[in-house]
Amino acid sequence: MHKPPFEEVFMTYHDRILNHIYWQVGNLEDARDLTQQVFLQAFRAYDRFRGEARVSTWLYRIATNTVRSFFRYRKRRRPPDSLEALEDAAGPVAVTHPSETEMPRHWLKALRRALSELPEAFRQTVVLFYFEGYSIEEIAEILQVRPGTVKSRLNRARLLLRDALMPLMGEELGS
Amino acid sequence: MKCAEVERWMMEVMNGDRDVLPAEAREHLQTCPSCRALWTLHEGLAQVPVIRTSLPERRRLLEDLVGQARPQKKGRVWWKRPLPAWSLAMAAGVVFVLGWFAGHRGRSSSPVEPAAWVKLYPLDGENLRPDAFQVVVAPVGEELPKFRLLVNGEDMTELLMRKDGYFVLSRLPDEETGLVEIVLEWTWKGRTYRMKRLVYVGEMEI
Repeated sequence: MHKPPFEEVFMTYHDRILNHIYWQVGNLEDARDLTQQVFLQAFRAYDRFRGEARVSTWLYRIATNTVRSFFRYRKRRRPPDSLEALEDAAGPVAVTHPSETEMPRHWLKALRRALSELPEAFRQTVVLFYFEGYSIEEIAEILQVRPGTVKSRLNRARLLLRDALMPLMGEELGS
Repeated sequence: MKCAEVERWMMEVMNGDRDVLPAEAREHLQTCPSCRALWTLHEGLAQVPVIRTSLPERRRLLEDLVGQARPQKKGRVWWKRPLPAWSLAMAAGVVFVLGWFAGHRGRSSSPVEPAAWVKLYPLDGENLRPDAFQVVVAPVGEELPKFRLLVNGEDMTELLMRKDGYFVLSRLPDEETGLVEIVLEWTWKGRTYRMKRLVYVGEMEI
């Protein structure tokens, strides 16, 4: 299997991993630190990477471990941040922050909250499908599950998100 | 028509298993807020903006990462050699650099917010180990501000040792592994600044 140079891996996947982590942890500052930690781990282990899995699968596995580690750390260290605190902590960064785009801020905020309440497997699947543009088959490979499982997680996640966001969407649908 | 049936059709379209919704499902959406909300959600999720970093920023991050992961090794194992003062900061586990810079647009003497960076250099050339981990506070400037160093919320300032002009912390409390939070707080010209870094200490199972 072709093993690309690490620089290529970094340049190709950096933003995807950053987005992936951002939508899991809800804080851009932490997401940037964690993304750097993911690639640091990957860089140190890259010589040992034999290419049995795709690079993306391997990277997402590291990202998943890092995010889990983050949640353990957060549980240990402090109560969950309020959304307002999370947004304030984002700080000035050289990225296009979701809240700086045309998507209504209140919608993004509600979505972030609803996503944070989903089970981890559902949240990961939604993020990979909608925000990172992976196909069902690619997600199945990344998460090492069957495509049917990916669909089932997506379907259940959509219903949960719909229920959580219904009051907000109801207002907008009604207008 | 039952909502469950329409939901199933919608999910098939959303998952790419069906191209379009049947006409009766589309009619149902006109009158059912709950099903319409599901469709709106799908459309909304597809429009969520993504975070993008610029190419120069990604290059800088990559350089930073390579610098952290590959400390200099020449001759004897590098961390056992006597190190000049300047290289201590480069070789240490974590380097906080406090600096304040005058604008870079001419020689403005007005105070500018201090900038701070964290750089990580493992002492063993592989992973940051709790027993081979140094925090070095390296003042850059004419005057050292009053600062506090917190590791996982614990104030470690008193345990910092002065070494070659730097403040060095060589061991983490309780030899913690996993994600460790390092916070540097400092006061400068009456304002308090705070920077936080999360670093992974220990070897992650991949």
